[in-house]
Amino acid sequence: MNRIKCKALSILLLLTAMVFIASPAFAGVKLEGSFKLVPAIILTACILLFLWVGFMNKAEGTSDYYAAGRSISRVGSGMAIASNWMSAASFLGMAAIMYGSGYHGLSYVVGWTGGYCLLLLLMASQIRRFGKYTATDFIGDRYYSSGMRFWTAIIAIFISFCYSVGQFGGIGLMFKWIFGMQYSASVIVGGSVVLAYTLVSGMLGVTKNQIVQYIILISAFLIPAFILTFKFKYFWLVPQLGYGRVVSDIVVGNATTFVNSFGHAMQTVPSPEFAMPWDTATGKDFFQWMATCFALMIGTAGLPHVIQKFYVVPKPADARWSVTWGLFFICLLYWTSPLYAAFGKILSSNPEVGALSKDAIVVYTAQLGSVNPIIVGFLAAGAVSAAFSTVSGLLVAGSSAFSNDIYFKIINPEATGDQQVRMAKIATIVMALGVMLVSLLKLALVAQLVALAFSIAGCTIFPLFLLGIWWSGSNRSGGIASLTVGGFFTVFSIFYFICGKFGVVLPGAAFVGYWLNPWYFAWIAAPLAVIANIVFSGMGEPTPEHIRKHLAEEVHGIRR
Amino acid sequence: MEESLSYEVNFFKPSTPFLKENLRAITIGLLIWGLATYGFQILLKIMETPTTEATYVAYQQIAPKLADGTASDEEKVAAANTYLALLGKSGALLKNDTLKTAFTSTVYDLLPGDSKDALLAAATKAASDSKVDVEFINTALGIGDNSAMKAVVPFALIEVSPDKLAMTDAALEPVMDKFFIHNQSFLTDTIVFGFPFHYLYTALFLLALFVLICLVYCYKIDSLMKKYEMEKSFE
Repeated sequence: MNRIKCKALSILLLLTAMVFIASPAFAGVKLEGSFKLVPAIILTACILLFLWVGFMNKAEGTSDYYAAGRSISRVGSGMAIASNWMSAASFLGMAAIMYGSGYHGLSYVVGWTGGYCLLLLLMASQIRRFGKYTATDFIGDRYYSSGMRFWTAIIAIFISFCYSVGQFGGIGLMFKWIFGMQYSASVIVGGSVVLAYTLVSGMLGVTKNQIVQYIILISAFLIPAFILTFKFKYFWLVPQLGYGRVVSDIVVGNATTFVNSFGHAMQTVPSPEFAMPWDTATGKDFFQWMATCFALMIGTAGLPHVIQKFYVVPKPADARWSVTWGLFFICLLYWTSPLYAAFGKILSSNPEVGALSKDAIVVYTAQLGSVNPIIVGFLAAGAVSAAFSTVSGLLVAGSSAFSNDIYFKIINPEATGDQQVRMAKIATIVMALGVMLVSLLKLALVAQLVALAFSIAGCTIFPLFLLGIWWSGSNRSGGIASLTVGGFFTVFSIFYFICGKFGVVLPGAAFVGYWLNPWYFAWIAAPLAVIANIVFSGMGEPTPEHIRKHLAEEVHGIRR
Repeated sequence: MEESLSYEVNFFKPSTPFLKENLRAITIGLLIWGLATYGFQILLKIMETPTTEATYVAYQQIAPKLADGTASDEEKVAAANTYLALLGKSGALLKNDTLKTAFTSTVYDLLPGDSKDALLAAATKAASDSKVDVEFINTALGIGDNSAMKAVVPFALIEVSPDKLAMTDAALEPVMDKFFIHNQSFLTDTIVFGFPFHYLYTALFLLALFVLICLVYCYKIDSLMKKYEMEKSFE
């Protein structure tokens, strides 16, 4: 590990030197629309660094995937969880929602962190003890049904797909910013790069790489926060507390003595709508806050690629501690995210700044605050890295669900290892192309697209895990009923949303758009799925004894 | 014994002492989690009163007078300031022509004769170029020191014809209600560390609490494992 640190450090130093040589080229550019050399260098460097660390790690022997997990401390696997988790939605999307919708955005911040409590209290160590390797395996075995396995695999792929669409949107925006291309072109270029990265890195060591990624991501996100608070004379030692006065300045419309990079005074008209709960000006109400928050929480506890993390830790105790560390490392970013929304609001208040793309507000904020271009470049590169690491994880998860759970287990059980790998690669490419196409449509904000993935996970997979772990009476009939209810709501809500996007008005569109909105329909779909599970379990044949025995003895430690 | 014979697992009927204690810890954790997150938002909802921004309170008195032409110059200045504060809130509002017409008409009406033409010229120019000299408007409206308001003025102007002034409009009321009335209470008006309290609670404290819940639960379960000597056999 020391060797890696040493080399990583020397590479970073070298890159910093390069960047300083190149930096004059960056001075005095507009917010966007031109090629930016320094961020481009930093971005390339970050991607190369990840590949290199992954390669080094492979050389140390990841032939046994679990060995990598064992040699890493709980703190380290917490960082891996955090890096795996932090995507374009965390990095860019949350600040975007708060910038545009004020207090409503906090439902995303709270939802995406509070879900970890559910995960830890109800599931983490139990999932580890159950001893399966993927969410699909767990459901297939616990509900002893290959049909359930198939449909869970389909859902897992679909969740990865929706999640990736949001990420590609973020990658597109950042490529647009760095290379000065059109959005469509940058989605295609960025998407191709991420696909190539995934195909190369899919075989490399993952966990240690994620630790390096986390450190880069969090530094990229925190450094500008310190600079902004320091520069504008707020309490900079803890920027996460220091930006409080910015929020109050926005609410009251206080004058400050500072200007943004255009020379506009840093002051807004009194804008309580930025901070007051469910303000009518934001168009979001109390119910939507609660529903979004709840749907994101249960979605967090049901996301296949998050749950999967617990299978690779050595012991259940490690699963618990790594969740706790992971949550802490995630919070470091989430505590800071509203800071960007607040500074973004107060620095872009002059109408001359014009309408900014909300999903890029984090980067614009740093620019408007006259933060050094190198740091801004680092921030943008961090956003791309966040999206890259998440997308490549999702593509791998989606394609392995296809090649392992559908192709190998159902279509062609005699497939050789080579055939499976080939199928996985084809699936990766097909998925990436599909994601690219859908992200070109720009259906919604990054955070909202990702929220859809959470709602799906929250009403399909979460109820199955919850009852599967905590009630031995839940059986195949109940599982099928639960999945049917969750699946129905998912299809129903997305169908209405897509029709609405293309101008087709269906009966009750307003009702569905409010109560069963794609970002939060799980608030009701998940409880109904749980009820369906309970009711139909009572009607079906009881759970076979070997599963009850496994559940009681291995998962819950009930010994006679 | 009957239950454990059939390998019953039920969240609400723990069958071993370890599970009992584990489930108590889980239940307490979930209760704190749920109350802190959703309980607080419900409290916020219960305590809130729709609070109108001061400028809109004043405007509501003035609007009828603007309509029947009895408003004094001070009242017109106040109304124009209200329009300006509204326009400054969002880029979308800067596209609201009714609102801009109301602003420009009011300013036109209260300016002295020789400045009226300057206003019309400025409005024409502002349609294509925001770098327009509006200092005389700022002075007339008394916003010389307020840079946020000053910044909005060039964007608030729209071409009006002097014989068809509309200093107010019924269509503005819903827009103003939407942007000027906020859900406030002592929870939102108390300032802690510079934050409105509810914002601090939700954005910072809740997250810290989540970490704390996880931390305490981890310690608790580790000690339970020790107590029931399950570390070796179970973990």
